[in-house]
Amino acid sequence: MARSELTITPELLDHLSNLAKLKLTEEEKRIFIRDLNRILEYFNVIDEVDTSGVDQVFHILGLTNTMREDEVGGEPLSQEQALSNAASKEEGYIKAPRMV
Amino acid sequence: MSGLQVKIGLECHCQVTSLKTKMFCRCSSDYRGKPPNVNVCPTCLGLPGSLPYLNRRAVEEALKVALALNCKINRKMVFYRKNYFYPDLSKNFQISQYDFPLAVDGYVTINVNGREKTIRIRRVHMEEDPGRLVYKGRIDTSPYTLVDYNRMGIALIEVVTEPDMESPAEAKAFLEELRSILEHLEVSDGSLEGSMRCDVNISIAGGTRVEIKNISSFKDVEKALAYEIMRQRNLLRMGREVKRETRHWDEVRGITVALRAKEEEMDYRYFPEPDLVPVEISDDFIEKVRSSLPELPSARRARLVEQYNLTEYEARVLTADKQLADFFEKLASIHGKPKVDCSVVINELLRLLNEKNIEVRDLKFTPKEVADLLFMVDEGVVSWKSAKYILRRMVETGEHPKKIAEAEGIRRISSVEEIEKFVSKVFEEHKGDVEAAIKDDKVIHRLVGEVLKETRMLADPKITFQVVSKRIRELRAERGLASA
Amino acid sequence: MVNPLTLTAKEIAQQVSSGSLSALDVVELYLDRIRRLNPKINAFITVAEEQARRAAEEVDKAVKKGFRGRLLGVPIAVKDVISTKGIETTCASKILRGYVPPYDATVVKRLKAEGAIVIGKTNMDEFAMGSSTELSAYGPTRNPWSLDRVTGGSSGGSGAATSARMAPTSLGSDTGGSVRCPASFCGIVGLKPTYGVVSRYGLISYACSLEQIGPMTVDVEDCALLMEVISGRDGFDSTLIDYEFRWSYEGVKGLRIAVPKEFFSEGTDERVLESVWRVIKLLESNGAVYEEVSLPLSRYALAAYYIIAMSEASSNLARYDGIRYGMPYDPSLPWHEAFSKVRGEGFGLEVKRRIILGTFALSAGYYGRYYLKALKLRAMIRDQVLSLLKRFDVIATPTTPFPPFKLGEKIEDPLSLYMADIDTVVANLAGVPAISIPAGLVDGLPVGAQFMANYCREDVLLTVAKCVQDETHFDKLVPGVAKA
Repeated sequence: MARSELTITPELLDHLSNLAKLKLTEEEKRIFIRDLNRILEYFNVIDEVDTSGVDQVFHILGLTNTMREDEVGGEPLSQEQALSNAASKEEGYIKAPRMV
Repeated sequence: MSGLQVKIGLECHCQVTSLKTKMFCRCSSDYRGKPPNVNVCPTCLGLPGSLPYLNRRAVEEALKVALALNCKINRKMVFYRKNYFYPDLSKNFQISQYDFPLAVDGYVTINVNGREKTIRIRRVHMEEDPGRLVYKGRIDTSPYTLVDYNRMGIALIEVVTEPDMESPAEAKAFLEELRSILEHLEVSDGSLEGSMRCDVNISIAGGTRVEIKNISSFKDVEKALAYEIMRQRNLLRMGREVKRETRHWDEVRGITVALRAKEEEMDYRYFPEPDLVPVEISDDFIEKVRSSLPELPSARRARLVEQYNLTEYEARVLTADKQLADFFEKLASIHGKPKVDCSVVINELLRLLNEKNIEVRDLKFTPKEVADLLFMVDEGVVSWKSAKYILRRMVETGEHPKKIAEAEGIRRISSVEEIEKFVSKVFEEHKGDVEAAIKDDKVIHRLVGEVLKETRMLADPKITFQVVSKRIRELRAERGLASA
Repeated sequence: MVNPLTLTAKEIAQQVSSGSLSALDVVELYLDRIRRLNPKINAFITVAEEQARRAAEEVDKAVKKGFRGRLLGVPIAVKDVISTKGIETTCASKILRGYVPPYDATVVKRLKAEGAIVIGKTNMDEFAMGSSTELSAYGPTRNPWSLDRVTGGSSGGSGAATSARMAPTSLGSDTGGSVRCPASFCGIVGLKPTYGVVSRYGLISYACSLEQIGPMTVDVEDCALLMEVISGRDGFDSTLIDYEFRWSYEGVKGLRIAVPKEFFSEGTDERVLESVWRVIKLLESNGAVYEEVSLPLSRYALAAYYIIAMSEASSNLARYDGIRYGMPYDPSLPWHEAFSKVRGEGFGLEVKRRIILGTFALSAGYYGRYYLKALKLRAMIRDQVLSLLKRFDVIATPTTPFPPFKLGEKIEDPLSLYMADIDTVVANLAGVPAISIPAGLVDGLPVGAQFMANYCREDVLLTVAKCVQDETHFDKLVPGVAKA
């Protein structure tokens, strides 16, 4: 495929991997430029269908209005449980990386 | 340069503090003052496999707000995911709304310096509050970040205005009105820390739109706007460009700072939240909620003017804070002199609250005790001047006014006999003034002042004046002088 | 002595209930099989040896006190995408290595309440993204029928474990065929329920609007038994509909079968087609009628499915950032770099591919053309399926277009792997229930026939399956490796 025909260019791939917070290796980028454009080409089959006037689906069976009462309950976790899977913690807080 | 037109739009995030639980899970909504990460469950902690479940009351509360803001209610409301990464978001997306928000196209009327103005509301929607980040020192130098998810998932109502405000004062007036509406609806208690937060958009003619994010209290909005207008005007005056950007309000330094990071390249990729179903809002339900709306600030102001004969200004000051207005009405119902009661509340009590930086709810006494104090004044037991002092002591100690008066020996001296004793003493000590007063009426006031001082201001000034005048008249008569 | 090669879950529960078998005996029996067979097959990521023994002892104690349950002492192999309290749950991903959920999925809670025992967590394609169970951070699962072949996926570990009788029953999850494809490749029964009848609470999301947890069993009645236990509302999953599972077998006389020609075209292996036709004719000989029909929009199903699934996945998988659970982040980096690094290293290639494509399909400028268009197409496909199901009780198709393929055969080419789902995704898009049942062997390898039915008509699917089981005794099919 000529580069001019690519939907997902290396620049767009960089943008997407930044949005998705996924650091890709050069090898992965090469594979993705190849695969993703092929897959998109396959996806473009949907262009054949005229969907104008069709409502998008939300719940596929059309379910609406599932709500609960405002009562405390559920499955509360203790601080120990909440932190049990965190790699790094301090005084009950979960430790995250620095912001800047 | 001050003539340059300013346009301000607001996005206000208000916590629904009237709920018992969070928006999408059954954790308590009462997260303040707790140790970190004790008010969480798999859902608000974003554990793999957890799912949201919508709180019905949250929808009702938001609907109240939308109706009070005169909005059109969408018959179908859908939640969307707003996708962005940030350490305070446990799922790295926020459940919010996009297409099909709860309500659109409302308005609020504000009043600045007696001039009425309508501010249009673009939309009202619901979303979840993120967690709280804690830094070691400043955000930009902290070596790591601490995260507390107790707040994650608290129900928020977002109110977005059109850019209809033209000065920081108008923005302030809008926010005060909004806060008062939310308090009258009993949806959100604006006095709780962080319960009302704001993003602002501002543009000056000749510049571009700048967004200031995350102003953590309504009070700071006016300051942030004033700073930003000054900054932009200075740039324009120097012929420099105002960049289209997002800035951060640094409340410690009182300035706005540019968010530099490249990571801020935003594309939120909104899409319908598949784990929740649409909410259909029926006409019946809307009418039910509408008919149950309490009296709102605008109606209350009109009533206060009508019922208590207050001025428009007084009514406005009172209703800016629902608790203050409630306090006044209770006081007036007990004491029964609305003009006096209003004056006490907005001049004396409000000044003390501001001075001590506390809220009405922090007061350790009720309107009943203030009424008792005013009855003491009415009965002449204490002077008006003493009453002000006692009120201050009440705010400080919460003691009953009678107890304060007793403990500090505060009473009103109004017996002629008792005052005469003080007068005699002063006349002894200020012979020169007495001589002068015999010749000149004006000096009588100086003597009255001395007597009052001698009584630690407890004596009734009127009676004191009468006693002093009488003595002077007697002295003149003794010397065969007519009145000066 | 009991024979695990013929023992059904129902029989185990009866024997434990009557006291002729202890739960611990049952657990030891299967643990022993796992010890011998798993090294060859790699069906389990985690064998919950200790927890299973402890649970069995608890069950035995409870039985003595009179406790009874529908799955008393029945070991269940649970796909590693379903949260199990106290048992590591990895989704076959490096990024979740070491994650021990502090809560049970609703289905697990319900199984335990009936006396069932989680014996282990089964292998799968990472985050259920795959159709071969080769894409696991813990190595591929091998097909018990031929160890150099794939099991299908993504619930290949559950398929292989059940087929090799390392567990009498198992649970899988089905987003686009992930229960039915491995059921077909491993020669067992796999049911994907109607969307919204089995709680997804605790099921680690890949594409939440499409997926359901489903039983994978040797025996049709066991499949019904599991459905009975795991279905129904739970107060944690707000996408659940009102549903009560009921089934009694009364034969297939008069059953109307639709045979859509698009699924029987030349793209599908002829031997697979022959097998499916044999099943249809067998049903016909038992009183069913069939008609060849057309489902023209099925041509677009695979593309619509992948667009929706990848879009949802890109958001569902955002939460894996190394802070709260799973692979730790690099503390020397600022947050956005730390996130990118842990996600770049923690996710496998296919997962990253789908996240990137999903991010693309939701991003500004492409949302309408891909995501929204796919949602609309989904509605059209659903309507076409439902209109067919007005005239017919079931729709018959192959489960997969080809028999189990060799390990590594399709791994380099994602598109050819996606094609494995071409016959199964329609049911997920439409939300209807679908079952795969063994349709015989092709060159010694199992292939499956798929039936779809109307919403909540799992009973019709089980009736079809039961009829075929009674005629062909597919429940007696045991791979050679399992007999040793």
